[in-house]
Amino acid sequence: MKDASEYPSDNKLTGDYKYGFSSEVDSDTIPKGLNEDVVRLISLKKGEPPFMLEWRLKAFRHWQGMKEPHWPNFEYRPIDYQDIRYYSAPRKKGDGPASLAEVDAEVVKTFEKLGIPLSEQKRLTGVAVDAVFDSVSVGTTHQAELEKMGIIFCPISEALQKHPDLVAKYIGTVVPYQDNFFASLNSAVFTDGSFCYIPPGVRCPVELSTYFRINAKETGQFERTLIVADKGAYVSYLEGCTAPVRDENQLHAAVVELIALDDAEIKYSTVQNWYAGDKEGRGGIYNFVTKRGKCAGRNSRISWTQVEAGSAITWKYPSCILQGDNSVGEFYSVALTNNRMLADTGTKMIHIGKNTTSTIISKGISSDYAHNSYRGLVKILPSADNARNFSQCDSMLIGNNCSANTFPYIEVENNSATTEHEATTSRISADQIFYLQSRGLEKEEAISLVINGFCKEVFKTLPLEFAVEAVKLLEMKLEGSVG
Amino acid sequence: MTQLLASTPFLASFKASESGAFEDIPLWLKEARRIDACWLDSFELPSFRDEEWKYTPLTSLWRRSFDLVERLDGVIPEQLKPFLIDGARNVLVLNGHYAGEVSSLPAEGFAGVTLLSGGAAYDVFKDGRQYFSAVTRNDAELFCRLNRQFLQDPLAILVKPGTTAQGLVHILNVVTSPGVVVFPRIFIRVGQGAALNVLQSYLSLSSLTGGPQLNVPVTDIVLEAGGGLEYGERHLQSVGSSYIGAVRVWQKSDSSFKSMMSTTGAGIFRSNISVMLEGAGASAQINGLHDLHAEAHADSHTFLEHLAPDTKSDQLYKCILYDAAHSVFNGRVFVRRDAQKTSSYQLNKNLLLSRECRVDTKPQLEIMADDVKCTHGATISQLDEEQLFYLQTRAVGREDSVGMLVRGFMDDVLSTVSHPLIRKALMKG
Amino acid sequence: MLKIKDLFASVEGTQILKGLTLQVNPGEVHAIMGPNGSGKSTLSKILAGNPQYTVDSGSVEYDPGGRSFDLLGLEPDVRAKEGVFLAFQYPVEVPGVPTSMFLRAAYNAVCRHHGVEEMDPMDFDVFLHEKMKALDMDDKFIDRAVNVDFSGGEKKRNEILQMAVLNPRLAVLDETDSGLDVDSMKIVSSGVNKLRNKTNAMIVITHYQRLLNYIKPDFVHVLLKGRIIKSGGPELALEVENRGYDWLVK
Repeated sequence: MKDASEYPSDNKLTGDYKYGFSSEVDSDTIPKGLNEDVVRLISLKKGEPPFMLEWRLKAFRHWQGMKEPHWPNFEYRPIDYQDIRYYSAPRKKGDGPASLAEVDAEVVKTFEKLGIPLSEQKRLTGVAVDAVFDSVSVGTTHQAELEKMGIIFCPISEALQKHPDLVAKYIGTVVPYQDNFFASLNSAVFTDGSFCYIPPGVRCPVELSTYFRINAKETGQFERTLIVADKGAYVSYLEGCTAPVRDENQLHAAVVELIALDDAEIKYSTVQNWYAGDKEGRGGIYNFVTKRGKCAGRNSRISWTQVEAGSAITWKYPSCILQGDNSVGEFYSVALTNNRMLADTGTKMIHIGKNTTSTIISKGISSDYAHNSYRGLVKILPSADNARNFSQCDSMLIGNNCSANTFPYIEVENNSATTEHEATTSRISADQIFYLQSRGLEKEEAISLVINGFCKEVFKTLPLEFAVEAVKLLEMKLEGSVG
Repeated sequence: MTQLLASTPFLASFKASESGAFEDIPLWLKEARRIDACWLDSFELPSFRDEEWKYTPLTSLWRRSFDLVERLDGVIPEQLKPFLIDGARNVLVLNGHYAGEVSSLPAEGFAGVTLLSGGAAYDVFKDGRQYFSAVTRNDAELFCRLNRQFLQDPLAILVKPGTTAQGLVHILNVVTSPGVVVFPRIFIRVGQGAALNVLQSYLSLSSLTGGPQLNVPVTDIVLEAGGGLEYGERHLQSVGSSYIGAVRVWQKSDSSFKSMMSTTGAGIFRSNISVMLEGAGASAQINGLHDLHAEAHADSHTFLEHLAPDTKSDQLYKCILYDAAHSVFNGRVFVRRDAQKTSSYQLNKNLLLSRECRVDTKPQLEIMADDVKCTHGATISQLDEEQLFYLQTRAVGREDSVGMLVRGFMDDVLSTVSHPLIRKALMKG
Repeated sequence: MLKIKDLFASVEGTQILKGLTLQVNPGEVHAIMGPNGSGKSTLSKILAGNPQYTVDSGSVEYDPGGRSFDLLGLEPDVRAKEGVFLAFQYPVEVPGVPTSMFLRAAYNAVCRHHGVEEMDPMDFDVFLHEKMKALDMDDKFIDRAVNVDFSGGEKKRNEILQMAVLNPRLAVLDETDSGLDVDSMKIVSSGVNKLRNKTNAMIVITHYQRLLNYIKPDFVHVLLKGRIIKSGGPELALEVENRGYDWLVK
């Protein structure tokens, strides 16, 4: 395994990516390649109930008959699915960590470096963290307090052992294993992820958070997250991700399913900063993720907020199925691409229930040689009386070699619907920066002012600390791009 | 499963009737057709996943067979009289064949305008072969090639540099018989600093005779530096007929193009309009008004490509849907790297007046230059109940109130039309 | 306060200023007139530090009171913090950034530079509304993005509002009258006049004499082909208005 010393953080390859280090961790990995035995082995290592293995095998067999999708606007090096390692876990002392104390010290140190302290003494206040290192969850904080309220927040592998009925009831109900190429692959080989269940009427008092880290080389990360908010429940969930700098591409194909029952609300926020490759586009994560929420109950609400600043290629469309009457779906997104990054992201809002409402606010920032596209679908089915949608998709270009595209699809089959879509394009120009500087602002302040102004509608939906972090992240990425 | 076009009854039908009918075409076109024939033979039918035809499936078309008509017969000019425009030069194209001019009043304001058909038109096409043979990114390429392969009697309209023709050239494109396919082809070239007004009316008389018809026209327009064209299309087709047409416009510097597409829909109605703003300072205004009833379908694909600096485009497409009508709008704005200081505006508005109607809209932006102003939008809504109520409290009946509000909805599109004869014709239609 | 000595400057390889010399003292208002292409706007951009303009030779010494700087060596924001203000001929549009947010950021940046306490949003709001009242500006104005969809007159008023907020020592007004009708010009000029005092100075660049009826200069300079070819009192402006520039060349 190459370690951080081979890619010191100040050399050309790493650029500004401050999470580019990798850790020396004693790992339990399986050989590269994918077949039914690998699927069985993963299930066995996880000690899963039989229904899960069956489901995985169905998914795998289905996946074998599927074709990898290709997007018309760009190309990427083909992925060799036999050249990926589907399981890598930091080796445990004994049979599994009974507590955080048993987690490999190197792993704990890694998360501390990333600003995610796992030990009970240092843990973050107001945020319960589940940390996923390569293929497995290595520790979840705040579990005891949450348990008292009946909230289940644990690795999905643990949930499969402790609450198999709950998992069986909901897994695959929003993203079925046949859904798409990457979702099927994930269904077959997912190794970990988080499971949350908020019981009826409970308002989760802390932010639940999962932090994903890809460490091992040639490893794909296939996590699966399932969040269920029962009647009248509320939860806010944060997700963060980083990976070390490596000059080959790594695949990240996650699936996230959200289910909100009557009067429930789920807020899901992501700050995605996977390694994006170097200036010439070498290396970086392929982030092909399926995220979908179902507003199954009346008056339920699902809200996605994402700040996408990393990955070599991102394909991601966090969506809402608005099935319950009066349900609400929201999508707030900032996607920044620089160097040679490609981002194709957006949402789908499927209106089924009556009086359903959706809001889409998307901000794309593109610089250098990057391509940034918004792709979204608003579909109003005949049953969705009085459905409402408002979409706003703005793009900002920095420099003259990047591109910004907007592909909104609006399909309306009910005449009581009202939909509105707006999009604009603007830029950060040297003139603007000079103008702001001539009023006393430093160059960095000037850029940050413009970025903040551009993204304000999205940032205000993030928890405060996350918003501050997000602005800093964007500033850091754009340094040197303007003027 | 993919299916070849060549294996459908569709292509076979008029391919058969074509034999021996095109002896008098020039050699260069024969050669071009030979190449196209190979292309057509290996053409795979678009699947239901194909982006271009996602909302306008053509499956019913492939099962049909159509005839090419050699000469017109049984034409009753009396029937066409209501569709002629007083004060304009009325050019008749019957079943794809040029049939001379009918002008009830002496038309004025055509200094510098030449209208050519037959061999003379082919000569003009040969001069402008880069346009004739061009494939743009929004052509419904198959149908452009079919047109090139089977066009029978082309027209060319030329305007001499520096001449402004105030008058209106009205091309009345009529399909009279059932089961007919026609491939009208028109080339309009407006010289430097010259100006012209053109209206095309597409009329199907199949309601009189029954049976399906298919109209596949291609209109190519070249505006030289500083040239101007106001262009209109009025579609009066029946649900039994299908229309798949392309309008392609190449604009040199400081030229200006304005178009208005008005339709009541058809069984399959697909309009592809592509504007290439090639010269600095060129501007285009592309507007449309769809008024769809019953089972009518109308699909508009617009493509605005900004290739040069300081170019401007403006689009306003409005659609009113009744009954089980279906409207599709796909607007693409493409801004190339060199097209700095471009401004582009696009808006698609839909008014839904029945439970059964359906709208699919996709306004797209693809931008590669940073110093540009691009805005697009789409709305889908109903009439405002409060406005209706307000009018009713002022003693206007509900139906009249609806009519009033619908007219209000259409008004700003119609008011973009400058030429009085075009506006009058469109309001009547 | 400002000493420009033998200044040569170019833009995109073309030399525009060719040996310009000018001294401005506290309390003075200098008008610079000249035909198109004479170098008026170039001078303003050089003083504000636009990176697209290069100084070939010469010097600009700036003394806001007690300290002296080589102005050309400072970044644009440092110049602004030290009290140099340029009212742009074509104010730049900054989409997405509300005017109020921008003004407060600018004001506080200057405060920080001078070690003065920053103003909180509430106090700033009161402060800003006073300034706006003086310029007869609508309240809604500050919620809109900086200069976006502003009319010509609104843009110019926004420039003077910024000047009022930042309270500069040396203000350069670049064709502030262009595109203004008479009423707007009166409002803008009275705003400028209110800011005039013994410790600051202004350079008013204009094409026409009419602005100088409202903002009375102490000195008038005629700029031609990158040099000041004649200086005088306010009467020089009238003479230029009547006779044009040709007589000065002979």
